[in-house]
Amino acid sequence: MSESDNKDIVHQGAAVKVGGGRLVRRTFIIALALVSSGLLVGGGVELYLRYNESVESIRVLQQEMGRGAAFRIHQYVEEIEKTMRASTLTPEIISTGLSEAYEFELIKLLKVAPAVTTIAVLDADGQERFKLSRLKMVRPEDLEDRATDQAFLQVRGDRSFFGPVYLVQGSEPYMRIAVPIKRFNGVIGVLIAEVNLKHIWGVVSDIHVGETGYAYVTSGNGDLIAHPDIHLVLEGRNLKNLAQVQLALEGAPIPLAPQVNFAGQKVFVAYAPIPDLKWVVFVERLAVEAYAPLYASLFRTAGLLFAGLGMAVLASLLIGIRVVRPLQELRQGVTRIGAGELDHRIDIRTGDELEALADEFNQMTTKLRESYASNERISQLKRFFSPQVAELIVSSGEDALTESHRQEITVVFCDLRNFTEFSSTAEPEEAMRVLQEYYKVLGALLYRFEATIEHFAGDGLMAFFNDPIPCPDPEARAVRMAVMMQQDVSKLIEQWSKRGLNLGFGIGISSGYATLGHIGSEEQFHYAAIGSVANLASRLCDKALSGQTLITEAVFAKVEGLVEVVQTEELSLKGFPKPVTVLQVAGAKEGTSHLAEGSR
Amino acid sequence: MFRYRNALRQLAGKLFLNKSELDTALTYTIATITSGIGAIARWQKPKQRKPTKFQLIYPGLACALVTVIPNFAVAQSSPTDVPVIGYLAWWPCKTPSSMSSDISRGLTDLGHKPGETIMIECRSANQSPEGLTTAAAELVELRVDMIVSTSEPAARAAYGATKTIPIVSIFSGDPISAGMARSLAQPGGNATGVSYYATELTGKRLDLLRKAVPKLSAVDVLSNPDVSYFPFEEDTKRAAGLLGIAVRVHHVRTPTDIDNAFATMKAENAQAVFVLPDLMLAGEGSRIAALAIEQQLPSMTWGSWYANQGCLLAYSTRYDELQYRLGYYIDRILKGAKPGDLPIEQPTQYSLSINLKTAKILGLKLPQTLLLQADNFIE
Repeated sequence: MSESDNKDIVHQGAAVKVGGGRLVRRTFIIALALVSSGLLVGGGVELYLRYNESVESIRVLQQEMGRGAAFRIHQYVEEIEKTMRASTLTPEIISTGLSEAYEFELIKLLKVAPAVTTIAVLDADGQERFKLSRLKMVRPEDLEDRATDQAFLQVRGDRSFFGPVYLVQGSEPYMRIAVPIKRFNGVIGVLIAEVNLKHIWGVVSDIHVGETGYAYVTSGNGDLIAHPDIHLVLEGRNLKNLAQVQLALEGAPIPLAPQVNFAGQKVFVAYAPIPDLKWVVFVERLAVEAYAPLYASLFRTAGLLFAGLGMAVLASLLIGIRVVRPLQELRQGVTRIGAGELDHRIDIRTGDELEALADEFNQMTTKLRESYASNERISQLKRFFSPQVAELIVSSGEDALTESHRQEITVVFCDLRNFTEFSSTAEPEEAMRVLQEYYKVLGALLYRFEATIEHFAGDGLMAFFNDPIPCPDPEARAVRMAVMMQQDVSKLIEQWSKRGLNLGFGIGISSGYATLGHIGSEEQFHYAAIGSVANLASRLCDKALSGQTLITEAVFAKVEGLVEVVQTEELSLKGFPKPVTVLQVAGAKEGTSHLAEGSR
Repeated sequence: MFRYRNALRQLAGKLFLNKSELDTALTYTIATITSGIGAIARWQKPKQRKPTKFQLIYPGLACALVTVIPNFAVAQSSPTDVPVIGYLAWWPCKTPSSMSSDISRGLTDLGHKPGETIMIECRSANQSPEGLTTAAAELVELRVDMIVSTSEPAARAAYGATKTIPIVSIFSGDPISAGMARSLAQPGGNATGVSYYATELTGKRLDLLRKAVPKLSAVDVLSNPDVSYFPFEEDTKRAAGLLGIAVRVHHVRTPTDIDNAFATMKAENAQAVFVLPDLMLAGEGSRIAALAIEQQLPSMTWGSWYANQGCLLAYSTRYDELQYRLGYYIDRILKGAKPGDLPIEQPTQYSLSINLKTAKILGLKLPQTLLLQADNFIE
């Protein structure tokens, strides 16, 4: 991860902290869209159903009211007709027919039927026999011959006559009702009444549909017969030009949509015909009122919708915040871990996937820290061991390094001849350059043969085999490595001599038990091999001339088949009471270099 | 807030502030408070340099209130809000704001409250025809919103005084020939109301009187020449002619004239008295009844109260119902209808009153056909 990327993350983290970020917005919008679309669809369906229900109930209600009104008006007129018929069923009629005594019946009729203003009795020939009026005096001379009157002509048998509506003095609506007067089975006369229809006003006024609803009645040709506003009737209005009246007179159904009434208001209309009278009863109700429950429902639903939307906004915000806050935490944590704070732990306790994710991150961090620590270790170990060995050590635990133990090892000791003199006279840079070239060559071989480096100081180096990682042929390895070292360093020496430097290289190898252990602190430690085997190797190295590799008998015993030994002699060495048998390695036997290669 | 305004106004009334001063004071108080709120809002955020929406709204609101409230207050308390009805009475007003109880009932049934939602100005003619003219002129001067009367003479006086102020009245019979209406269905002028059928029923009355007195050959008629513009006399003569009854007309202008008329009747051996419609005669029912009984004369009158006061017969439309119906016209006109568009209604209810006590005193045996027709019996 590059520097700039790091900065970017830190920057974005800050942005998340301050503004909420895109995720909050997106979560918010999704939640809002889900909740509010649900609400909107629900509200819409509710409105649609409510509308249909409402319109249907208006229609049903008005139709019922219309039928009721028609029934009552029909009943009202029928009542008059029945009263008239009742007044024809008298003892006088049965006994004497249309006698003088029948006049009483007319007086009675006027008393019980206030709508009747004039009543006349016609005999079978159409001649008026008796007549009574609330308004006028009636003399015998005033009785007329009404043989051509429709009211007389149309009453036959049992049928009553309901005449057309007419206006008296141009304003008061009247109609004629005629009933037959029967004696035994024959019709002996006709009773004709002039009926003031203004009385129907009382019936119509009593019909209430909701607050604004009203009923009115028109005749078969559209003349207004009754209306709660009686003046409309008295004005002699004809409502034929209204669409609903036209439809009703044709017997066609009126559409459910609001119609316009005579006052220009929008109304719901229902009608019911009175076939006997050829009248039509209309029931109208202002659309505003009829729609009121619908509007109320609409407002309710809209109110709920808005409340719901408000809650959705709130809920969405909460959801957004709930989801995003741990995410922010996670992000910050990861950023810090990325920045190297491996001790940081992400603390999320949401109990969901996010917490799991945080836990994973924490585990990862732990692993990372461990891995980081072991890397440190390895890089330290590499100072003494070849990388493979170092990793092997780390992965197999570090017991071998922390505890002192005895082990049979093969020690290789080498250094340059004349280096002390050279370094005291030569430029330090030149000395450093020589050492660099020297250790480059040695390092490669040590690495290749997986030797453990005990220490190096100046031009001297001590390494050993068989510890901490045991190997089956420590002596062979040591000798082989020494042969290779001699070869490679001799080339260096050649180069150096060309530069005028007179340096040589010697190696001493011994094998035996030594105590191995960890010397120093946790951070700065030294893996040391203590014992005479190390001293012996050192002394052999000291004795070796340039280009010589000296080994002990014990070493030789293990590598007899691999190397050729030039010379065998006994040397008395400092610190060793007895002379030691020392052999000089001349070179690898035929094929040994292959073996050496193969051991890797 | 306006409820408190009224309370404050009452309080200020005690402090001798007049209404307009008070309205101004209130308005400025409100304005001060609103701009004060604005100032506080601004003061709380001193760092903000640009005024926020709200801070701009408060002074704006204050200015708007200063402009609107006084107008509103004036409109609210304007006297034109409560309509004033001029009641043109023949008899003295009981109080300056009294009206026929039947009209009041009609108005109350339609949701009005006479004296509260409607103010009544009663002006009386004090039972003189000239008084009607004066009282009508007085009501016009008062600029009442409507003139209401219960008789055609009063309506004529009002119609003579104004052609613009709506007139609602009971008409004797034919307002068309009187020139007050073009037709019953659409009067077209400023007068409307209901018809009493005063003259239309003349024939019927004579017919009924004849039923009560079968051998009737002549009738003595009481008529006030002050209302000679009505065709009462002619209609009576024509109807009597048709029935073969002789008519003797007695012109009476004052109660004293009535006494004199009965004196003449006595001398002439009269058979029955027939009273014609007139406001003066309407108030003399008791006198007429007493005189008629004194002279053993059956009487036919044109209002049920006559029978109550002792006259033998009365046949008419229901006067109380007609007055009640006037309430409907008043209501319609108050709600904006033009009187010219309101048809003049004709009566539908009639009532025959018979005073049986008087009949007994007179020794009359009334026929069953007549008794059967009666709606009211006074026993």
